[in-house]
Amino acid sequence: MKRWTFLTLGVLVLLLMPAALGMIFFYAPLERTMGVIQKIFYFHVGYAAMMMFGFGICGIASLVYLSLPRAKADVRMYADAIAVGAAEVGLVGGAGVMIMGPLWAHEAWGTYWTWEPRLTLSLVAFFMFLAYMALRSFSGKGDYARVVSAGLAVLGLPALYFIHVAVSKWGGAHPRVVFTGGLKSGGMKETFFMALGTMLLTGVLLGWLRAWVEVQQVRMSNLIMRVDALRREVTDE
Amino acid sequence: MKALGDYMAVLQKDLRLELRSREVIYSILLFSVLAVVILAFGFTWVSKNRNATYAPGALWLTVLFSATTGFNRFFDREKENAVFQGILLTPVSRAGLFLAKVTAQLLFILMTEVVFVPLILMFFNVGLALPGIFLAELILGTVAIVLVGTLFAALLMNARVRDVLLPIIIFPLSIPILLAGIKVSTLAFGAPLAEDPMKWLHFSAGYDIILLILTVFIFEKAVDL
Amino acid sequence: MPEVFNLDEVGVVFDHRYALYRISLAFPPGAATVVVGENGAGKSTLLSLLAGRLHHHAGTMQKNEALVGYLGHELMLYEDLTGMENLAFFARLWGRAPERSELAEVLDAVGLSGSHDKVVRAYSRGMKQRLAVSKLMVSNSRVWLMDEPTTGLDSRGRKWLYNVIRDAVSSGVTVVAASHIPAFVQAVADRVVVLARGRVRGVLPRGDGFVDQAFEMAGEGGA
Repeated sequence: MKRWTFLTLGVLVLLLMPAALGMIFFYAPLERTMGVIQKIFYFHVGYAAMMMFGFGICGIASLVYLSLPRAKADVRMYADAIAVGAAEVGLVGGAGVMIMGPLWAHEAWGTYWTWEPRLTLSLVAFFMFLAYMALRSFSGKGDYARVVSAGLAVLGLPALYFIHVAVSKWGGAHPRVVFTGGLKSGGMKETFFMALGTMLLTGVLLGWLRAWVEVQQVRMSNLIMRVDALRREVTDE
Repeated sequence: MKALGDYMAVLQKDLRLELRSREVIYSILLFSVLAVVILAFGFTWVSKNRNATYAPGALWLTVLFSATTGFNRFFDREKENAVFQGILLTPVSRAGLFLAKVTAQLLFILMTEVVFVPLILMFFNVGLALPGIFLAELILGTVAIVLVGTLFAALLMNARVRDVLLPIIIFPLSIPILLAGIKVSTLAFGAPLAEDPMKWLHFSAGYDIILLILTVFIFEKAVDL
Repeated sequence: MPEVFNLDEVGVVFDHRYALYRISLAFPPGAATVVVGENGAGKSTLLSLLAGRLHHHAGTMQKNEALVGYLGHELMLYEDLTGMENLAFFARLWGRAPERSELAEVLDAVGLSGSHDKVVRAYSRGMKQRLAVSKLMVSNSRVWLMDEPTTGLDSRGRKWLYNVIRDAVSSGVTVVAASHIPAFVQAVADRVVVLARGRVRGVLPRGDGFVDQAFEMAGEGGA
């Protein structure tokens, strides 16, 4: 059942991907002032959405993981797997944002980097989850590494919220992103939602896959434990 | 009231140890004074008339970097003989233990700030228009950095690459406090900004409270895994 | 009185392998149990499990005593505090507030008279071990877990330790110790648990030749 949902999702993404690309490059009209550069935006928003959803889900799943007692090993395993999957998808999205943001900024505002609220927030979020992944990879494989990195993900949520308040709400007059006006031209809106939907579905697919790998790793180590137990049953005494 | 007793016991122990060796305070102090001098040199050697613009950033970078250098030193003494493990094997209140470590580290850093903050005012040649608000923000900001730093320094005490991990964890989590701190210091140094500094103080206090709740929660979960 | 620890088919896994496998043991109160076995048999793992430093991955474990004292391979002492300060600090964490005179008596009793106010860094290894043992004596735990407690002690120190343990047991303290020294087993054990390759090879009550028998069993298991 789960396998079929996954496969359907995979096929859907495979079909949507070329369709979205086709719409971006052949259907959507050229933007008048920015020209072809504006097409970055169809990817950019998708990456940004992947990043924010990824980090948000990672934080919430980590909180669930930390709050549950040890006895609920099964739910904890899934929560932890979802947190890793979401974090890695978020990092991919973040990398996309970090590459495309400056390109866009250069064309739109004439500078590669500006402390524009969204860019600031994305940059910090990206580094926060780089730290999360570093923590997971360098501090061992066991439960302890999971708990410590879950702690970081949980702290990341309020930190990002506070940064958002500081830079976006109180940041004063910053250049508004131009797309709100640009979307009015015919064909752009459809392309935008098509691209966004495709990217988000791709994110779900990749995150699911990564979470599944994590679960399989846990199951595999349980299996190795079982094998060791059986080996002992046969060889001892 | 076991928690309060444990808090006092651990705090007294840490203050006594520091009084004996002074290695945490000295290492933070030395680093911070050098950092202030280098930052002042870098920022004000050529452009002499923009001191007030650079001073807030220099101040908060010094606070952040010097505090970070102190955390590992501070937990080195808990690492020797696995004595932190020994503490956790007693029925010590986990929250009391964590908050005592936080308080001790906070005191050490505040003590060094007494030295290097006036140095910043001096080297950057800025005056304090709002001393009370400036001090409040300095303390609130330091609390946030210490909460995060103490939590991860304690939890990563035995990690092989903790020297690398600690800064990359502390820096992003300190960004809210850097934002508020730099705003408030800019105002406090007399720059005309159309903003209410109290707003930023509330912001910092709110962040501190949330960090306090979450770090105690995470510490308890991690040490009694 | 219920058993202090009750282990039923307990397994502990390190790196996918069972360091302890299907351990079923009960520890009666007020008795000294000594765990013997070759290196890697699981002695330290068993003590860490009882101390709560480790979790078990299989079976059930019951713990009927909240306060458990633990003396491990590491000294768990502050090198830059004096013996007196170390002792006072840990007593406070155990929820006790002993008078200085009481602590001084304990320090004298463990043979550290004259060194109360020296920092631990200046102690010899044997003195540090004595101080580590005294931490158990000022704790209010009625269960002592001791992993190779003779480490660093000379023959006089060992004799002293045997007396400390026997005195504690006769006052009702439950002792679980790991050791590879026959004389230690002979001196303190009410019963011996023999571990080999993470399993219980046998449990021997005190009796004629029980020490030799235990070490023989431990040796066979490793072969």
